[in-house]
Amino acid sequence: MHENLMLDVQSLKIHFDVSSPFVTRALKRLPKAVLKAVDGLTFSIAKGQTFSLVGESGCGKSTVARSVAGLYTPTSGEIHVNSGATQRPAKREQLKNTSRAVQMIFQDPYASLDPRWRVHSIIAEPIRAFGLAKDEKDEKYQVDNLLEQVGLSPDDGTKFPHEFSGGQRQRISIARALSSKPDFLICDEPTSALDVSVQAQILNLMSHLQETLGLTYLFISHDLAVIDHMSDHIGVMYLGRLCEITPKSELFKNPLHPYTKLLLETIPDLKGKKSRAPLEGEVPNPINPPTGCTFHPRCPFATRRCITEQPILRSIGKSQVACHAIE
Amino acid sequence: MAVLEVINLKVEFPTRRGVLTAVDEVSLSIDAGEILGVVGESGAGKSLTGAAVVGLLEPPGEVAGGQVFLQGRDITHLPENEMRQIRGDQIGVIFQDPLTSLNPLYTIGRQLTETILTHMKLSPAQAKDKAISLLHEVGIPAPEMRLNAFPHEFSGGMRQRVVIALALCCDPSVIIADEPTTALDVSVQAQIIALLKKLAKEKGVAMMLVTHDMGVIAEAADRVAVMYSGRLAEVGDVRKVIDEPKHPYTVGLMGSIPQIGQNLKKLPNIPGSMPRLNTRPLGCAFESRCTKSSEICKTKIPALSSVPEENRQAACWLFQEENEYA
Repeated sequence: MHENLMLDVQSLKIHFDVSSPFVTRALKRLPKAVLKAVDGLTFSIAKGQTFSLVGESGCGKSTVARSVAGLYTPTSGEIHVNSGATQRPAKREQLKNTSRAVQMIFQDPYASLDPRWRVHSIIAEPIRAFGLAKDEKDEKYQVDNLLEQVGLSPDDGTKFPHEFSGGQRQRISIARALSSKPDFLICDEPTSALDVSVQAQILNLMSHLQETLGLTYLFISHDLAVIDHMSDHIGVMYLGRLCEITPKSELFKNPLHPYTKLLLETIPDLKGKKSRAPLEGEVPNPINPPTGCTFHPRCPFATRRCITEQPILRSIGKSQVACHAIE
Repeated sequence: MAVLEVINLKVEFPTRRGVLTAVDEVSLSIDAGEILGVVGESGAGKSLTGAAVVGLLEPPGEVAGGQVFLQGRDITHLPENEMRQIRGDQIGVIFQDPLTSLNPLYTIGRQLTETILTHMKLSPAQAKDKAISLLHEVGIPAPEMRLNAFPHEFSGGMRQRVVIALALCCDPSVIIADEPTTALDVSVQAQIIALLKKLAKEKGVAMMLVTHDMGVIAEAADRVAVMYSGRLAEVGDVRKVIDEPKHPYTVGLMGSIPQIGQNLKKLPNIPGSMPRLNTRPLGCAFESRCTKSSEICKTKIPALSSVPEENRQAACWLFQEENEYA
């Protein structure tokens, strides 16, 4: 693996068995049902960069994030973080080291903080788990520092999560994620549950932390404007596959894949100059996805080849695109 | 004449620690065929305003003052049985989450015909025809077949279309849509907004669109009311408010929305957060976060008054010093 890569994902597949119980299946002669949440994903993130995944709900963005964090076991494929594995059967010591280096910020700050723990304990948990503090005094010192780093005051450590607003709670989540001194943060829709004015505060905080701590981000969002603000590279996902990987500058100026183009057209325009063309149809059922290119039922350029043959990612200029029409 | 008119609405929550005023001095009016966007952060009172209009405030919340007129008739304190007649008949309501606003145990056909039969004098067969035509109108393919489907058999966007069809059942003159697109994907969101706009224009429905998403407002609304901490901060034509916001809060709000191709190093943001209901200051609620605050802002709440410009109102001392001294 390349030296300066933080994350390297090779043909990652995550399939979930969603079949009915065995007896029902036998009686009704149903086949096994497999949900292919992620189906052959390859991408990598260089150190200190932000890579974003964007796509409609159900396309598998969050599943990728969770498997990178080691919360799901891949059906096949490999995930390497900083040249170490996050998955079993890696050695216990190795797992411990990578899980310290990889932390996650979740979408809903109301659900991701234990309501019965004080903020100090929430933030100190990773410090204790990885034995990063010499004694209690050192632990308190570290937690106070973290609170200040995310724009809260050390006194807030004695409070409970319910005493904070949504934006402040997300700051606590960030402080907790930073407490194990990670190199790599997975941010799964970190601002989707927040109001725009608070969202701006949190995004600024995240950019500031990236600069000062040299963090690498895997950023997940459905909001293209947020993605544009935060990312260096962007991967567009559709039904468990990447249809385009591209530098930020290219995506908005020169989108290649038809799905990317349609996704860009659906962004509401504040200036109201263009009326957006609604994208016809919805994401198909991933248990029984369309054959060939999974986007073909909604694609205006679909040909017979798209129905039968699955396109693979090819390099075109600075981007990688999976589409038959662009070759 | 405005179809829906709200005058000085006040919503209060009596609690053990005193009365909390969640909505105060909110006045709005919506004409036929007009979409009024109500926008604000969570806790600004926008949903409560919508709920108060249709009489669906959760106790202990109550309308403590002001009036709501529906086509000239005061409906503020109608008894519950009369209000039930008005809801569904003259006012349709669309909620945020289509999965929770439909009954999972009834087919959508039954839910639609039930509403139609309750409010209109039609035979069951006519009601069924009406249900089919409604589903057709909101863009559900093969409505005859889908009548017998349960809500879980629909996708999120299709479910929201069913909810819109339910709101339309009795040709209401007013529709209150509370975050109708928030639970949906952007691509589906565009479809639903296009549908709502079409309905307002074609049927002449007065629509109140409550949302926190300025993008949705920019696209759908004709006029917009910006709420902050239970009060109206600014009201005006949607293009004017977005392009040249007057109230410092609106200015900050517009600035903090990231936009594609902006390439800013840092997003402008409003420091701090909205005061909680129990810690509201004596003067303007935005004073502590405002860059242009002065002495008067700390002591007196500015009233909503006209800005020297057409159809534009803002509640800020910046624009009313002259009135004050006059």
